[in-house]
Amino acid sequence: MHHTACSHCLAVGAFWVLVALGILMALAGPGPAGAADESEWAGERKAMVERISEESEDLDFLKGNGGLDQDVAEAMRQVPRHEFVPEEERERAYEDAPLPIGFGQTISQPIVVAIMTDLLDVKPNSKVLEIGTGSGYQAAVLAALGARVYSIEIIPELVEFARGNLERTGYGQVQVYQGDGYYGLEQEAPFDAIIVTAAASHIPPPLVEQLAPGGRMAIPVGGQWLTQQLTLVEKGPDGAVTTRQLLPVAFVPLR
Amino acid sequence: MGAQRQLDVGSGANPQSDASLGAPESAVRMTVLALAVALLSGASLAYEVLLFRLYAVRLGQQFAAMVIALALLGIGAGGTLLALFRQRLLRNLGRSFGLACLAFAASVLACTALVLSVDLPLEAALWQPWLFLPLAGLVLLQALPFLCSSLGLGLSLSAFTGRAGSLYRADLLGGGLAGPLVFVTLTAVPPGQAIKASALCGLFAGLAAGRAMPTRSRIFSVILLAAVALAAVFPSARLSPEPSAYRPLTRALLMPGAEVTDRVSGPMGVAQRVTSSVAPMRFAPGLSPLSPARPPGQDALFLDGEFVGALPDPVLLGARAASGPRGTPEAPGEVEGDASPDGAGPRENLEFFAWLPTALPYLLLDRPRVLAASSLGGFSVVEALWHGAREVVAAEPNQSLAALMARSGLFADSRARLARSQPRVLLRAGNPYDLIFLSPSGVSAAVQPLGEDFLLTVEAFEAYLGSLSPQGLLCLLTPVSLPPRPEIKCLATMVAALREMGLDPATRMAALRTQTHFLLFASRSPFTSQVVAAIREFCRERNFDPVYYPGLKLAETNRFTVLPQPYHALAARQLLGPDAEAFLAAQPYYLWPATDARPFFQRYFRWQDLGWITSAMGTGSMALVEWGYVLLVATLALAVLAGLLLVALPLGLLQRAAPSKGVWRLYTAFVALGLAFLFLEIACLKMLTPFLGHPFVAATFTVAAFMLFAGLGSGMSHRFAAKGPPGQMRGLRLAVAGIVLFGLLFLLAQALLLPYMAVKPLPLRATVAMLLIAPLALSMGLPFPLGLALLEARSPGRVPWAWGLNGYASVVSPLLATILAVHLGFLAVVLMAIGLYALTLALFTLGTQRP
Repeated sequence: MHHTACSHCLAVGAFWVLVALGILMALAGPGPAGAADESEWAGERKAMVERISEESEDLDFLKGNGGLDQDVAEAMRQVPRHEFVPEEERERAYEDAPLPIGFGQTISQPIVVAIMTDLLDVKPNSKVLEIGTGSGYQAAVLAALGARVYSIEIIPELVEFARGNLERTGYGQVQVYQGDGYYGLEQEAPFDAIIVTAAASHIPPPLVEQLAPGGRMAIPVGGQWLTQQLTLVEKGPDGAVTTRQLLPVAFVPLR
Repeated sequence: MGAQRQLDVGSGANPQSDASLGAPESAVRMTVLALAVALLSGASLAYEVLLFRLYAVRLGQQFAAMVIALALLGIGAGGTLLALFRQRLLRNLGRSFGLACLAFAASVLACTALVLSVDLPLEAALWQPWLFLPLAGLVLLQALPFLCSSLGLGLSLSAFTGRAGSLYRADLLGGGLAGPLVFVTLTAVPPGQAIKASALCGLFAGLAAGRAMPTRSRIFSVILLAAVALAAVFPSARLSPEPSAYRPLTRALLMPGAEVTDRVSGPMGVAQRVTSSVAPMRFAPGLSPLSPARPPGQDALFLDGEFVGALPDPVLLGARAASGPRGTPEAPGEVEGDASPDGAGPRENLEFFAWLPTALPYLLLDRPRVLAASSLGGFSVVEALWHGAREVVAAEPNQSLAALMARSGLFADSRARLARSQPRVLLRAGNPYDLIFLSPSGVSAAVQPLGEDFLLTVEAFEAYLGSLSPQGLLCLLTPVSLPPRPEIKCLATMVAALREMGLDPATRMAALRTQTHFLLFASRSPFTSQVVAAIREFCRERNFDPVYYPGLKLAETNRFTVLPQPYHALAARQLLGPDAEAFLAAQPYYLWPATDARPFFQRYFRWQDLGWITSAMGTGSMALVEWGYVLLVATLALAVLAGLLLVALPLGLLQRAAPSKGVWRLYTAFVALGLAFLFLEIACLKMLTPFLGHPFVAATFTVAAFMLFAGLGSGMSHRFAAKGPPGQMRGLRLAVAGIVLFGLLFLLAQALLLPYMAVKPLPLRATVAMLLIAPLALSMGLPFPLGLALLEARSPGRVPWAWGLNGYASVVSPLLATILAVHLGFLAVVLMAIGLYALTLALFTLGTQRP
């Protein structure tokens, strides 16, 4: 359910990655999809995380205040992103670009996954709600950080797709629900962190309600068909809510 | 359209008859040929209008305007072809004209179907320049029909310059009638079928031309009739525009259960209502995150594929609780019920209206009479009714959207009324409003990117404020942008309007900011301490950040939605202080208020920032660039370049012989004429828009008046032309003197007389507008045919040059006029046009002097 981050550095990076990959693919002939083994994928994953870490250095709003959190980086090195994209997109799985997963939805650009995960400040055993499961990749990254993940997806086919992907990759503990994410998951609330991976025209009040005191929510907010602002919502220990707009992004609509 | 009129006027006045090249003039049935000319001219103009409709749905209006502006260069290229193959084509005029008509019809159907089958992410062309190649192909395809019609019309006029008067009258009449006819047709049939009708009209023109000729080719007639049959059965579905996969409507329809449940197609656009029971739209602009109530699912409304607003179910109004004052939210604990992931629940009700920023004016006013100048698809109407408005008038000038709203049941409530007109017209009715609501990012912005918008000017704000009751409020809601742009421009415009009215804005203005939206409101009366206290409390309860109210401290701002700096609050202070001008001048964007003379609210571009834009190419900062303006400039640049390649270069090669001394002056004069004619027409049209109340109304009356009277003027040219160069120069001097005189009179009347007539009924206003245009257009019809006569007398055989250059200038002219108006205003464009006519006179005087 994700789309593209479009800060200056991200896009420049993505552009050159695409160019480089294009040249490499042209020179190397058949891509890694055909005969790729796990070590090959792992190598690509490592390179992807290195790129993301490098590009994140200028983002002072991250937890590490100028660099990607190492736990998040490690989680992204673990999760096999190629298992969360359709077969025909596998060879592009580690490009820093969003990829189509069907039903008009996309799997987010890896750097967006990294930034949003970092913003949540997830600890082992944190209770995290994800709105917009998509193919399950973001949920898997959160689970790799040790979080208890609850995820809601509105498209039934994607629910099945995500469940299958999560089971196969060893993240079957993620609870995937089918429903309208606008309302959150009241029966499991409160959550230490909430991540919304679809554009919302406003911050859904039910999600704010379901955020625990001290909790954090990352959500792209703005016009549903325009550029949105990636927004961090923080609920203080006293329940006071503050928000910060961090960077422009473009996601598919939440409704 | 304008270019074509110029071409036709010019060719018709050529005093040198070329009848020897075609059929003998006496043997040709000129009335039938005139009918053919009228049909082809009408078909071509209809196609131009329809093409805009198709592209507006498919690609959005910005790209539609760009593609069509460039495609019109086909008119100039038609002139080039004619100049190159004139002798050969005139050997059998009937067949050549018929072939041009056949090619017109075939290219209309084939090119349109082909272009509509291609889907391009055109925005991506800005950072993926190779996408300009398919875009260029698209333009070339769409230029073909214009090339064919231009060739056909030019042929007839070249063949019978002695009878050109009747032919160009037919041309003007055909073109003049086509506009209103398309307007009417589109109310009955979708654009795809109307396109077929324009192709058929072109074929009938070919048949009529055949009938006009003394010798007729039966085979060719049969071919044309077969083409008519083929065109009639051409699948309309291939000509029906579906929004590109990259447009908001298409993306909305990807949501589960989403479907189009209602649709109105008309000359002003295709309005569609999208419903989803599974994942409905929850439109709640600026909703507080603390709202205990949840917005119920709403239907989304789209116009030409753009989202324009949402429609909460008016039935829910019946559930409005009587308890609690308006605009006062219930505490979270007081709301019964709960929600579940499937979306059902008693908390899903219209109580969320109390948690929107727009609840504030309703809190301050008692049962107001509301003008929803931006109805947001009906959302603002339901909101006003829920807040207990005494009466709410929704202004929706777009007839398609209005029709869709009207049959939604929204206006079943006796307090609600739909007015299918521009809000500024409603202000003239007399009854004061207590609240006028306007959203600069509403329909007008979606429909007219960088188009003139007379709702968001200093004069418009003055009119709104002037039609309020003493304590009434003018309220504006716009999305927050970073860096702030429309918000600051709204503030600057409001400050300027209040100052123009002699009122101190510091005591009459307030603004706040939510996570997503910026609300600004003002009154003619100063805010009392109670009002200020209510604003402060309203913001605190809902986590909204105050931006400005009398007495606000900077420390009270930027607490809930934290920005690196309290940009909005700082801007408000600067704009209310003595250094407002310096502040605006120092901004990276153009944030000066728009005025009726330069009504471009959406213009934020500044040339100083060109370097920054260039560096943004290929990066993620593209979203910060104002593309409306950039596209306009790019279109002009491309038009100039393409015009040089398609018109000037071939003509230059054709006329290899060194032109005789002084002819260059005449060529320049024809370029100046092409620019000046459309400068005047466009500037007059735009200046009359607020007076006539609606861009479509203004375009209908103004263009019709210009075509009719310019045609009459051209018809009078033979009186001067017959007297040789001295008479022609005399006619030219008289015409230019008339243009200067009546142009200045128009400006004077527009400034002094029209404002006093603004309250008169439309038929009277339209008559006054046409009367103002009449003498001006009459004078404007003379110079081109007289110039051609002078050129022919001075240097025979140079008419194709004049024709091509003038047509080319006519295509460039509207683009240039808009850019000039953005920077200098429409008044300056009128004055420049008058200056260009004076320059033309000087050039003709110098160019026709014998050494």
